[in-house]
Formats: sequence, C-alpha cells, structure tokens
Amino acid sequence: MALTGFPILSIVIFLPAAGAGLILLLPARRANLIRAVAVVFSLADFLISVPLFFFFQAGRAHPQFVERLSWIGSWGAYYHLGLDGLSLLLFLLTTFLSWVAILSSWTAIQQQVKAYMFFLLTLETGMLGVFASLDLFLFYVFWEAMLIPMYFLIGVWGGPRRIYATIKFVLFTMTGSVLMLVAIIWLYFAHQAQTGKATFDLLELLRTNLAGTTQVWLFAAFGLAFAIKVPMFPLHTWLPDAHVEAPTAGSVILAGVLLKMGTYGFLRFCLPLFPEAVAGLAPVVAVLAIIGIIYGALVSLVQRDIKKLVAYSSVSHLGLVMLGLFSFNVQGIEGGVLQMVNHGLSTGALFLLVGMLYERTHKRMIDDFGGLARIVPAFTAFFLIVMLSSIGVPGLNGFVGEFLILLGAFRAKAAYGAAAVTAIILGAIYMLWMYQRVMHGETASEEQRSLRDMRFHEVACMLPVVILMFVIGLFPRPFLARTEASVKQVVARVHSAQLKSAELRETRAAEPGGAREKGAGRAD
Amino acid sequence: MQISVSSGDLIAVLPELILTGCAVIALCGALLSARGQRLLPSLSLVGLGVSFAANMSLAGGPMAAFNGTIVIDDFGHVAKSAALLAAAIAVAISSDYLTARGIHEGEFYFFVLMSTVGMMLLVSSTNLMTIFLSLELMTICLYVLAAFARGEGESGEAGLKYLLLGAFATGFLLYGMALVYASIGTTRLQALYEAILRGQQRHNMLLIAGLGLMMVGFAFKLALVPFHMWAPDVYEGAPTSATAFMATGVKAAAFAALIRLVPYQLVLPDQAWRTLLWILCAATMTGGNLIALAQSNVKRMLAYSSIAHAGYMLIGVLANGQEGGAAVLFYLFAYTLMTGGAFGSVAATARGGSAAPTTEGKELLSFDDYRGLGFQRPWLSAAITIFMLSLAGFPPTAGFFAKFYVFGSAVKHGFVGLAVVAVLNSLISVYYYLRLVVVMYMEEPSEKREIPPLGAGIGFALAFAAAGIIILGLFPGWLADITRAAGLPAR
Repeated sequence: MALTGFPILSIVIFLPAAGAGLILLLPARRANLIRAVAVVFSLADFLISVPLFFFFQAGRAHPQFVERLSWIGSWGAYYHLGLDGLSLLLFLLTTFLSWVAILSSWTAIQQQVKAYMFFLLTLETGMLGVFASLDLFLFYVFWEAMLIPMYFLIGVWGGPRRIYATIKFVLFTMTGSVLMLVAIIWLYFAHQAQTGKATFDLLELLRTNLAGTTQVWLFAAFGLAFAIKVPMFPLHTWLPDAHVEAPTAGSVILAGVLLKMGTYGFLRFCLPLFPEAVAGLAPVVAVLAIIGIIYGALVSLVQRDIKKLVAYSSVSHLGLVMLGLFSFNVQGIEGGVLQMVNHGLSTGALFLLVGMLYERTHKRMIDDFGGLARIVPAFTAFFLIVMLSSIGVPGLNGFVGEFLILLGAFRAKAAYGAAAVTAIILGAIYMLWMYQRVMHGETASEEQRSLRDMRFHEVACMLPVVILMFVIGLFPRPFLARTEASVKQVVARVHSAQLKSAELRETRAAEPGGAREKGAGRAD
Repeated sequence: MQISVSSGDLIAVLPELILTGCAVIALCGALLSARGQRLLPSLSLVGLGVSFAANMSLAGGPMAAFNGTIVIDDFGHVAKSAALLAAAIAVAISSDYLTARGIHEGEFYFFVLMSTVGMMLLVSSTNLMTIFLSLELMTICLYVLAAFARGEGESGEAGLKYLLLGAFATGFLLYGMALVYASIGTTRLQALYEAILRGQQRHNMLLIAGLGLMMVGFAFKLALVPFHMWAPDVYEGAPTSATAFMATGVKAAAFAALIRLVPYQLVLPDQAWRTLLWILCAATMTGGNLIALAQSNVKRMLAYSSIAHAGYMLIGVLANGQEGGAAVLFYLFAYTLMTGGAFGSVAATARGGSAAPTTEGKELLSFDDYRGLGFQRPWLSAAITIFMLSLAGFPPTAGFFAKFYVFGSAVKHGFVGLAVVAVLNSLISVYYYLRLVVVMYMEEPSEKREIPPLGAGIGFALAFAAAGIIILGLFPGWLADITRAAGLPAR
C-alpha cells in the first residue's frame, strides 16, 4: 500500500478541527475571511480524502489505512482508525457534503458566522471520526461529541421552533446512546472475562462468544441507539422537527450524514457482533422498516411544506436501506451501502435547493410557489435531476441502489420485495406531484417573477453533487467493487450464525423440555 | 498510654503543617489594611502549591504515623491533591468575588486553609478518633464560611442551618463510633476489619448499629438523599466561592474517608449493606436530578446537581475494590474541576467579579439573567458551556470519562441495573444542564444587564478549570493510570 505509515485518516479527520481552531482566533467581524477559511479547509479536506478512494484496494475485507495507537492504556482503549468497504464511501461522502454544506452557507448565514463555521467544522471532525473508528470507545466518544455542534447549529441558527427541535434531537439521541454505553461496557468486561484481555478494539471484540439471550439484550441496546438515529418507525418523531428547524446546511448534514450513522451502526456493529440475535430479530426489524417505508411515503404525500416533505421522505428512504441491510445477502447490503451514499447526495441536494428557495422568498410551502420553471430555468433543471435521482430513475445514482435493494429483498422474502416496490412507486408520486405544483402551472405571486436564478457559489455547490449522481448512476462498478469484500464478510458471519442457531434448534427439538436453552442462557 | 511524636510523624504531615502555617499567616494578615489583605489570596495559593509539592514528594509506599492513627499512602496522596485543587479553585475565585460583595476579609482564607487541613487529615485517617477530629476541623471551618456574608440574611441562614444539621449529623457519627468501640474495644480501623473478618461479629448488633449510625453521619455530610435537605439552602445562601469549596472539597475528603471505611462494612452479613448502598445511590442520583429539573435559580440547580453527582460517585464506593476506588478518585478530579468551575462562573456572572464593589442590588442568579449571555460574553459563556457539557457527561470532557469509569466499575462488579439507572439519570441531567446553554445562546438577551470584565483570579480559575476539563477529556489516560495505581487504600 502506497500510504503505509502516513496518518492520512488522522489528517483528514482533524484538519477541519484545525480550521475550527484557526477560526476561533480570527476576529468575529471579518465574516468573509472566516467563510473563506472554512471553505478552504473543508475543500482541502475533501481533496486530501479523494486519493483514499483510489488507493483503497478493492477485494480486501479488512480495514485499510489503519492507524493504531494506545490511547488510554489502563482501560485498553485504542486510537484505532481504518476504513473498509462499509465505511469508505460514507467517509468520502462526509468530506464531500461538509464542503458543500459550508459553501452553501456563504450567504444564507449572516448572524454569528464565526461560531457557525466553528461548529460546522467541528461537526465534520466528529462525523469523520465516527466512520473511521475501529475501537468501540473511540467510536462512542466521536458519536456523542458530534451531538454538541449539531445541537448548537439547530438551536442557534434554526427556525422559530428551534429550541424545541434541538432539545428533542439531543434527548432522543442520548436516550439510545447511553444505553449503548452500558452495553459497550458489558461487552468489554465479557470479553475480558473470556480472554483476560481488556480491550475496546472492535476486531478483537468480534471474537467474543456470547450466548443467545445475551446477544439479544446487547443487540437491543445498540439497536435502540442506531434505530433512533436512522430513524426507524416509531422512533422517528425527532426527525421532522430537527430537519425543518435546522438551517439549510444543518439539514444537509443531518440527512446526508447523520442519519447514515444509524444504518452504518447496524452494519458495522450490530450485524457482526450479535449475528445470532440479528438472525432471530430480523423479521421484527424488517417489518418496522417496511412500516417506516410506507408510513414515511404516505406522510410525505400530504405535506404542504417542501422541507417537511423531504424530511419525511428520508424516513421512507432509510427504511429501504434498513430493509436492504436486513435481507442478509450481498445484493441487499451492497445496495444498502450504496443507497446510503445516494440518499446523502439526493436528499442533501434537495435540502440545498429548498434552502435556496427559502433564502430568496422566505417561504417553503408548496402552495406559495408555481411556474418556477419559466422564471428560474437553471434552478429547475437542477431540481429535476436531483428529484429524478431521488426517485431512482435509471442512469442516475438512485436507481442502482434501489435496484440492488429490491433484488436483495426479493431474494430474502418476496413479501419484503413487494413492500419495497410499493415504496418506490409512492416515492415517485409524492416527488413528481410536488415538482409539478412548484415548477409548473400558474405563477403563484407577482413578486416571484423577479426571482433570481442560481448564483455562482450555488452552482458551485450543486454542480459537483449532480456530476457525482451521474457518475454513480452510469459507472457504479468502482463503488460497488470497493464495498463487496467487506459486505461478503458480514454476510458470511450472519449466515454462519443462522446455521448455528438452526442446528441448535434441531438439537433442542431432539432433547425434550428445552432445558438446554435455559442452561445456555445462564452460562454467560 | 504515652504519646510521643517522632520527626517521622511530623514529616508525614508536612503538607498539612505547611498549610496550617499559611493559615496562621493569613489570620495575622487579616489585621492588615484592605490593600495588604489583597495579598492573602496569592499567599494562600502559594501555600496550597507548596503543600501540593510536599504531598507529591511524600509519594511512595504506605507509611503509618502517629501511632497508626493516620497512614500515608498513594490513595491518600491522590485524594489530598483533589482537596488541594478544590481549595485552590475556591481561593482563586474568592478574591474578586468577595471584594465585589464587599466582604473581602483575611479570615476567609484562614478558614479555607484550615478546612483543607481537616480534609487532608480526614483522607489519611485510619482511626475513628482521627476521622472524627479531622471531620470536625473541616466542617467547623465550613460553618463559618457559609455564614461569611454576615450582614446578609441568606448567608446567616445558611450558616445556622449548616451548623444545626451538621451538629446533628456529628451526633450520629459519634454515637456510631461509640457503639463500634463498645463492641470491639478499639478505634483502629485495622482491628475493626480483622474482627469482622474473623467472623465473630456477624451477628453483633451493637457493631452493626454503630456502623449504620456512622453511615448516616457520612450521608449527612455528603448530602446523600434522603439526608440532603440542608444542602440546597446552604449552598444557595453561602457566598458562592465558599459554596464552590464546600461542594467540591468536602466531597473529595468524605468520599475518600468512606472508601477507607466501607470495605469494613461490606464484609458484614451478605447483601444487606450492598442493598442499602444501592438504594442510597439510586435515591441520591434520581432525587438530585429530578429536583434540579425544576429549579429556576442556577446556583440552586448546581446545588442539586452536586447532590446527583454524589450519587454517581457512591456507585464507585459500592463497586468497591481497586476499580471502584480508582473510579471515585478520577471522578473527584473531574467533579472538582467542573463543579468548582460552574460555581466560579456563577460567581462571575452574579456580581461580575470585578474590583468595583457593587454591594447593593440582588445577585444575578436566575436562568433569565443568563439570557443572551452567549454572544455578549463569548469566553465566559464558552467556559460555562464546557462546565455544563462536562457535568452532563458529554465527551470529550472530563465528566464523560469520570462517569464512564464509575459506571464501568459498577458493570464489572455486577451492578448492571444500577448502571442503567445511572445512565438514565445522566440523560435527565442533560436537560437541565443544556437548558442553561439554551438560555445563553438561543434566547434573546434580557433588558439591562452589566457584567463587568472578569477579575484576574476568577478568570484564571475558570480558564484553568475549563482547560483541565478538555485536556482530561482528550487525554484521560495519565490520570486513569495514577488513580488506578492508587485505587486501593492501605489498611
């Protein structure tokens, strides 16, 4: 590997934090200088992270670009970073969307620019850390630390109900994560009891033998934290509030990256660590995912606020991702991983576009607009492409992910596949209907005739997103190839656990009374 | 019995002797003019620093002194450092704050230093007599500090309440000690432990009653629910810098003493003591947090928060052993930094902490008074935010690692249920800690409010505490190593 010994992940993760530190030293009144520093740092960060994609060796399941240093020696916590097929794309998505989000706030944010950019950059560091951590403790630290900047972003620069929204966001997220903390500690001591080694290293904890019932408890604790973040029905209620109240860049990051942490968490931790519990509980998760898919789509259908519509569509889209992950086959999970990226791009872009409309008119209701296609053609063109990507039209990125998920879902169970198809149809309906009402028809008001089309910095942040949509849509192979090996490893783990529990069930059936089950439960 | 004091004994208490000397100088300095008295805080800080250095230089294997009534061990060194840290933060805050309130008098430093001496002796006591004496030395000084603003009703009320209830608690403690002495005929902890271990005492009701009464006495001093009623009034009424000291130093000393004491109880019959401590833990955390939710006064909210934190620390006492002791020691440092810093910020905001005396008018203590502070006073607000986030247990702050350590020790010793209660409690606490941040950054500024610039002492204390919290939050390893090595007190 060409990058051996070079701490590229640390550099990518902490460069934004360095930018945030620099901003702290600048005088608050030099707003443009602060904006420029933020944009430069985030762009540099993205550019430095791009080579990761090319140096990454497809076909290897194990983490690459690994850095491992002792962090808290006596607790066995390591500063252990690395990217594998599950995290690579999300890591790059984060550097990309962070830059886009920062650029998009150039004119949108006029108050307290210094603090705003400080929090956006620290948020980026937190998110990157979450995706690159291979140590449970380090992961948890990033996972929780990231909440703070987001809390400020929504609470200070958000809409009228921002305080309610931000507190709800923090409390919901914390509820899940504090229980996950107990589970992490439990796992740590269970591992220590078995091997005599105190470590939070994920790769070592994967070797812990856990009894079935224990796995279910731990899965529940981890799963709750991730399910809230995804968010899965019925834990989604924080999402519309947070999305609607957050400033545009906040919504972009929330939808684009933060929600993915939930699905990523399932894939990275729940599936490999607790495969038996996962195999047993998969129907529950799948049914919740399907309810989320249909519910999210139906609620989107009746929204009058465009931002809320996009927010609820996330519930639906991420339900689809969850369904893909819990189909336990290579297609489904690969599709899920790719769809996380796709959703980040398309929903992020939708929030950007809605934000541009709002910045110009201070309105967000569908009824407030009409016939925009004639007035702002460039804007409409971008909107059209992004919307088509979101509903999964072939040639654009959304299609590849959705298709793979459908394939996986049908292979797992025909009913899952059927439910997923419904969602895609509903998705097309609410998006197209919204597009029709906003872009076509009569112009809603006189003042809209003087709307300005896209400005330079707006094109600058939309164009790369749209290009990426086409690239993934037309040439998905390089992206899928890089995820494949790691996905196969996860699938193999879950399958062997499924086989094991099936065997166990058979032997149990042979032994009357099911006494073994109790014994196994108590042994741990 | 002949009591002789060797030079070795005096060296063993060198840190305490240095502080006592300083305290006497401070008392004499109180006779100086107001300008001369301005030197006293610096003198006290130097004294605390020298005492800390002496404390460090004594580090090493356990060594008994004064006929085995006190012991010098690693556990004691670390706990003493926490007490010294608490005193240093309080002294640094005091100068500006007391001046602004017009009650800057040299005696304040005398009482702080003497109380610290009491704390340090308490931490190293291995005899019921020395435990009692040092505990009283510590608290009697605190009674005076609570009532230090003697012209003001609230401060007087705080002092009187503290005195009455404290005396009551002392009664319990002393009565308990008397019963213990009556049942085993010695006041040495070592002998007590051996007697219990031999198993003859398992059904000695006199001993059990004695230990129970002692526990009640400690629960009063530590303000554990349901023995906490005095704490909010005392913490609120006392001058804020005294509150900072009471809330942090006392916890450090009393928890350390409890860790020396409790293992003796835990070897007693079966589950009874564990269940009792379990209930005390859960009640203290939950009670403190729930009542804190309802407060509209920041100082009072912090008082309840410190009750809740005592509950978290008690988990480490219950978990016991090296893990538990180490976790509590770690927690004490984090807690001292964040609670001392939080009360320091209250002091800074309440009167501004400026040199200009503004005696008239009430202090700015309610949540409403903090509205819009965020962008008006960015550095002060950033420090308050760091304290609140740390108290709430967000990484990367010291508070997170402290909680993690304590909860981890609970899980390790099989108290998973208690760990769940504890994390849910920290979830509750997030709401009220963040409420202050909401008020500062997310609400419109209130009408007229002049907060003068921070004085040097208070500014230094806040910066030090905030930086300490972040540094411990990024690199907790070194302190974790130190506390782990010191986790088990010498017998």
